[in-house]
Amino acid sequence: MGKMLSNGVKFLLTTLLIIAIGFLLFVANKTASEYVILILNLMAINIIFAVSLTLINGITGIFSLGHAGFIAIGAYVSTLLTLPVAQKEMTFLIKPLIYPLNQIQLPFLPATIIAGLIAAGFGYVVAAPSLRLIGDYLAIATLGLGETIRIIANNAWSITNGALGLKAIPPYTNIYWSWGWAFATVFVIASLVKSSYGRALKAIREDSIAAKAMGINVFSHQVMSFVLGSFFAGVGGALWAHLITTIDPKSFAFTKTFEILIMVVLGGLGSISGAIIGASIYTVGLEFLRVLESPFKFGFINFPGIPGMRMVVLSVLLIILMLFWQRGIMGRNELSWDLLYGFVTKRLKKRGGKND
Amino acid sequence: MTEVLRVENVTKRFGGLVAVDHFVGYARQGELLGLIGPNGAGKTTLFNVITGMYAPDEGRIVFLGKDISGHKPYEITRSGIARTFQNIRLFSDMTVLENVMVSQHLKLRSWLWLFRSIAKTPGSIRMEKQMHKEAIKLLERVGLETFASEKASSLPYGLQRKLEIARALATKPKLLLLDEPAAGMNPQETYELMEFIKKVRDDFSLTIMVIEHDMKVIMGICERIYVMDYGKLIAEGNPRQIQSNPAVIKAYLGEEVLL
Amino acid sequence: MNFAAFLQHLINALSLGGIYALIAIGYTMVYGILRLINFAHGDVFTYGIYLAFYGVVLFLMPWWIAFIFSIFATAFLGALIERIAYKPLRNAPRISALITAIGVSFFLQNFATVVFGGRAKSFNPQTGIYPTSFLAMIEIGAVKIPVLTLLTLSIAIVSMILLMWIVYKTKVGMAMRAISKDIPATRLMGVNADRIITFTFILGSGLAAIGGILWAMKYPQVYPYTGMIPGLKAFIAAVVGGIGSIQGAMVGGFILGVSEIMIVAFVPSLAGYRDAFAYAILLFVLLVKPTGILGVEVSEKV
Repeated sequence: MGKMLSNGVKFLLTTLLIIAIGFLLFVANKTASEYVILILNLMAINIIFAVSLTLINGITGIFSLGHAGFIAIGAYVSTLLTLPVAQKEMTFLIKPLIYPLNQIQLPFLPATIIAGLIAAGFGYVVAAPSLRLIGDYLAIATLGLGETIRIIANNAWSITNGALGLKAIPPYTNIYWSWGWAFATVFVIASLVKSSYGRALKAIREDSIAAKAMGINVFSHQVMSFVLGSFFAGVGGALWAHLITTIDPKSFAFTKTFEILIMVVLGGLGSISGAIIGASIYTVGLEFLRVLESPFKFGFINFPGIPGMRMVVLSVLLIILMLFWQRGIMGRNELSWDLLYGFVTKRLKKRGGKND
Repeated sequence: MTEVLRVENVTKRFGGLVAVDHFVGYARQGELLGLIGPNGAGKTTLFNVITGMYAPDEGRIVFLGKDISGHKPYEITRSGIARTFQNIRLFSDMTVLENVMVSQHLKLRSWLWLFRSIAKTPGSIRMEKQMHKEAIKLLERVGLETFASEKASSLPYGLQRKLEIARALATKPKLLLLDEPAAGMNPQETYELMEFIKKVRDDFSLTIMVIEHDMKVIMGICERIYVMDYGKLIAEGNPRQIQSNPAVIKAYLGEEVLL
Repeated sequence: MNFAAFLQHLINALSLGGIYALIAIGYTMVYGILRLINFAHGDVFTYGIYLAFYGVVLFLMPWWIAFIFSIFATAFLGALIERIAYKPLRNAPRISALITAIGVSFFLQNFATVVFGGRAKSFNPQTGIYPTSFLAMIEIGAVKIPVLTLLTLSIAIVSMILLMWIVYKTKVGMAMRAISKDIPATRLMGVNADRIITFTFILGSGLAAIGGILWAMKYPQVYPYTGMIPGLKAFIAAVVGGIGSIQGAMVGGFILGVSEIMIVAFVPSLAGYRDAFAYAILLFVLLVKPTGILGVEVSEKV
């Protein structure tokens, strides 16, 4: 097993890391370009999406494909609460927005929290019937659910403004909100997973019948995981809406769930640190791939830019990933100080041995 | 001696098949019972009914004086019945220690513990430390403590079976049901298992019921044996009585063997 | 509504149901054998349409040759996907194969966007894809039925009969049915499981191409995401009918097609929700009898 660091040391290291990241973000916020700040915000939001999906799919083993639906709920609820009343009147052309939403305007934080809670509420309502199903059936049911939410959003003109969507959303999302919530998400979910409840959820994933036999109320724990994941999905949706400032039902098609799935699988399904890594790489990688969509030179060769090339490359990458590297970067393991410590000391020992 | 379990006329059907047919039986505190019968006799199904995986179609199960028929599996485990499975159902990707600690989760009765665990309150940290200590102690008692941080799936087969029993013991049961614990074991492992089961019964003051096909095990450690065939109870008694019971011989060999 | 209108709607509904059934069969056969939800099937459907389209427009084939070419080419595409993306993952955890299927679907959609262009292409006689005589109407008394609708229904039914014949009256079909029960055992009997599995994909994809061409004649457009919603509905149809059962897929397809058209016919204000009916039916079936109408109960041994 090797030497392990004491808990005190680990706590100190984690705190230092958070402070370091916080400092970097502070500097970036002051000096970086708008483009870089946009990417950083997207990265944080994608981390929230990926970690919340990992809790449901990777840790608890509930193969849910409906994450986009809860993101949509978060986005719409938060937006309807923060849009100025005058703007609502202007936007809702086909049918006026229902009471009391057309009178309310709330600040960002309460709107985000309410958005998360309502997404969680939907998760609760949806969980009970869905969790009776296993494996593939559950996947299809949750996929249908996500799609149903999108269709309702497309048709409920007096609530969501239907296909027209909502625009001129106040751009509240900044580095502090997005990364603040990202930290909160990671903290809550990581803390959950590192507790007896985390073991219970993993046990349910490994063998729900054995878990039952060991005294675990499988159903209530699955619901808990689903609701918690949906809450953060809703929060992420709220942050996202207030970043891109326009939303419409098309933004929440199955494609969105698929993107998050890529992030999670890339990082390792079942690992929180994997989800963070996967989300970060995906966010940055997607921007790099954008290069492919406008003309560029590679050595001597001129490549014409092709719109849509990004997604083609992405999907090919995912297929290759699954064929050759199913585990993803972290597999089911977590990045930990012990792991790092062991890695570093092994390297140092090797170096020391060579010098003898 | 107190009666721990009573199975009253339990019947379980699957469509047209009667898997358990009006079974009657009981278990007294501290007994080591055997449940045998040809393949498909309904033994595991009976275990499944007792542990709540299936609800009985007729009859009832009474445990420590309470009717537990049709209760949910986790409720029954919390009441004090634990089991192992015919095909090993360990949490393969989790460590040996984690497998045992999962069984302690049922201690956290109220959802308040969820918030405490997330917020890492001093109370929850203390609870976690205590769970850890108890799990290590249990592993020491069964001789698995050196494997604590190994993945459960990396253990040799015999030790996996032992781990399954340890995991069941961690739920602090009063009645332990073992489903073919010796399956796939060589004679040496089987002998060690027999001693292990007797020791567990004594050390933990349990009542144990064992399904087995290996007659050495059954005749070696069981004080009283139930015999099933086609879902029905066909014989009950001590090892000597069972060995010479013509109905039992017929069930296993298909015909009466005239000695 | 009067009887004539009802009949018109019904026949229209049945023809749509026939298309759903054709696609659903592909899903159910693959699931029955590999326990895999072939997310890419809806996109294979789309490519069936594209191949027919380009057959006429680019290769200047007569329409009927292009259609037949498309059926075979799409069948080949399905087999290709199986060999490249699914075969290597046959023993992998199911979730990996599922994610790969999603990846293939995504790839096909975006590849089409890049290569064929994201804008919808017209698939109708005006642009010469197939003869205008197809657009004629048949009148029986007060009932007016488009020839196309009757044609669609008939071709769908004929295709299904052909398929049933293959599955139940040929050796290949028997091998397919055996494999859906137990792959290793079938191998031990001397059956080349890999070839049979590929053949299953060929059959399913061919039917999807037929369904696609019929769809494009009915809704005369093709764009990269044409197959996404019909594909999803067809999969739901397969689940509703009992996943793994070919007859179930047919029953499910017709149920979905009929309910979609008839509900909107009787309650026009619900038209915007027509895609959601499928999900509602799905939810209902999953709650009441998850294994589907003709499905077989599979319980996990404790």
